[in-house]
Amino acid sequence: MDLSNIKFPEKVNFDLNTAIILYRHYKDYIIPVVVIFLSVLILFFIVNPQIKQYLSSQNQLKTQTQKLQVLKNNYSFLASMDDAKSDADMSSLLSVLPLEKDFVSSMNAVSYAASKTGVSIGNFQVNVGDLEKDTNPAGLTGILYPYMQIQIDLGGKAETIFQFINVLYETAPIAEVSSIKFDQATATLVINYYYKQYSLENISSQSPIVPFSAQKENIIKEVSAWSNGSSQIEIPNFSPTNESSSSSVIIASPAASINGSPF
Amino acid sequence: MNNNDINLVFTDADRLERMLRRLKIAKMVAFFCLFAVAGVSVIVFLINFTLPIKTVQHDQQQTLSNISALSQKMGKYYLINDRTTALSDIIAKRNDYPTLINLLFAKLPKELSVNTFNIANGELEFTVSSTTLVPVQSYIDYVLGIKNPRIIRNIKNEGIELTTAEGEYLLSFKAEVF
Repeated sequence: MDLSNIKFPEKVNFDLNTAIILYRHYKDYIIPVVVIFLSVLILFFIVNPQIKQYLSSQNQLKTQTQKLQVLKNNYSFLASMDDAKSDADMSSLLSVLPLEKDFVSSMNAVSYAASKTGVSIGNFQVNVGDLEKDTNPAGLTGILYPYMQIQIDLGGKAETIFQFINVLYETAPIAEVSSIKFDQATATLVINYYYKQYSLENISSQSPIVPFSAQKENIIKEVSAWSNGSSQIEIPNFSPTNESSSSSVIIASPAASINGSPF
Repeated sequence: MNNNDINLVFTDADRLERMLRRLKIAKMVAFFCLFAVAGVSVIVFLINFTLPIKTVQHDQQQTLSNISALSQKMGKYYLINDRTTALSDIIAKRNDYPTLINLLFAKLPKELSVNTFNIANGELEFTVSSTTLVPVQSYIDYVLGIKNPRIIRNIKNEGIELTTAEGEYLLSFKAEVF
């Protein structure tokens, strides 16, 4: 078929008369078409947002229901929590890992371990650090908690020094020996005493409260069995001789440096 | 071109009938669309209206106020949780020197005694002494045979030295510790 031969009218005459004729012939279609058009508009502009709102409400309901379930679980867990046990656990844990630098408890632990193993305590030096800020000066151990460092001279045989370290590792507060220098009957130990501050910002009633894992229960059990130096040895009015707010070092007085406990 | 060129007027009965049928179908479709859209709209509105979000939020507030009465217990729970997490980390990572010492000296023959023992910056050096050579070899074999790479590695015997003044054999070891 040769399209070039098709002849189109050069001009379409669409005047008012034509429009009136068309209107008269198609006027019955106007209402159905308008109704269909309006239906489509309603579908897009009213029903569609409603459906979207329904879907989002459904999601919101799901989230809120989950939150409610968490809250209910939290409530039932807290309501059934044994007050006496949690008090005892908290007390042991705080004595093992105090909230701040606890010089007295640390020295109590040293003194307790010394008295238990028959090691004599000589000079000691405490690197209290900045009292205002957390410090983790060395980063030697990879433990990312602040600590107070005590360097202490001990007198005793190797076996007793080793026993001293053993006892120290199972006495509150938690300690880590970072270096040992033993020669004949004297030793110098550097001991890190860890502490950890606690922020109430961590508390949220909407976070799920779950029973402690077996690992955490084991930790509680383990550290509860540790000796608590401060509960067994009384320190009569111990007061550091020199303590300042930044990187202070406490040196034992000559009286404290003689053989035997400085306390 | 005049108006006779465009003939939009039906001229026969068949076409009129077809047009009426089309009109009827259009009206039915319009009617259906209108009722369908209205129906869906009402149903969706009612479903939205009856979703119990408000009830759930009210229950949440109620439970939250119940929990706030137990805030002290909650504080204890979080503190215990915080301490146990930190302690388990510290215990897992701290230098396990009691185990190391036990490993090295639990089987130390009674004729041997520890003379020096230094650990610093992950390096261990220690010497043991003995007045007799008999137990020395077995202890060297024992120490060099220790296999516990999580605690100690690269154990080397640095040699045996005889101190004539004391008449003692000094045994030196070096190793890396963790």
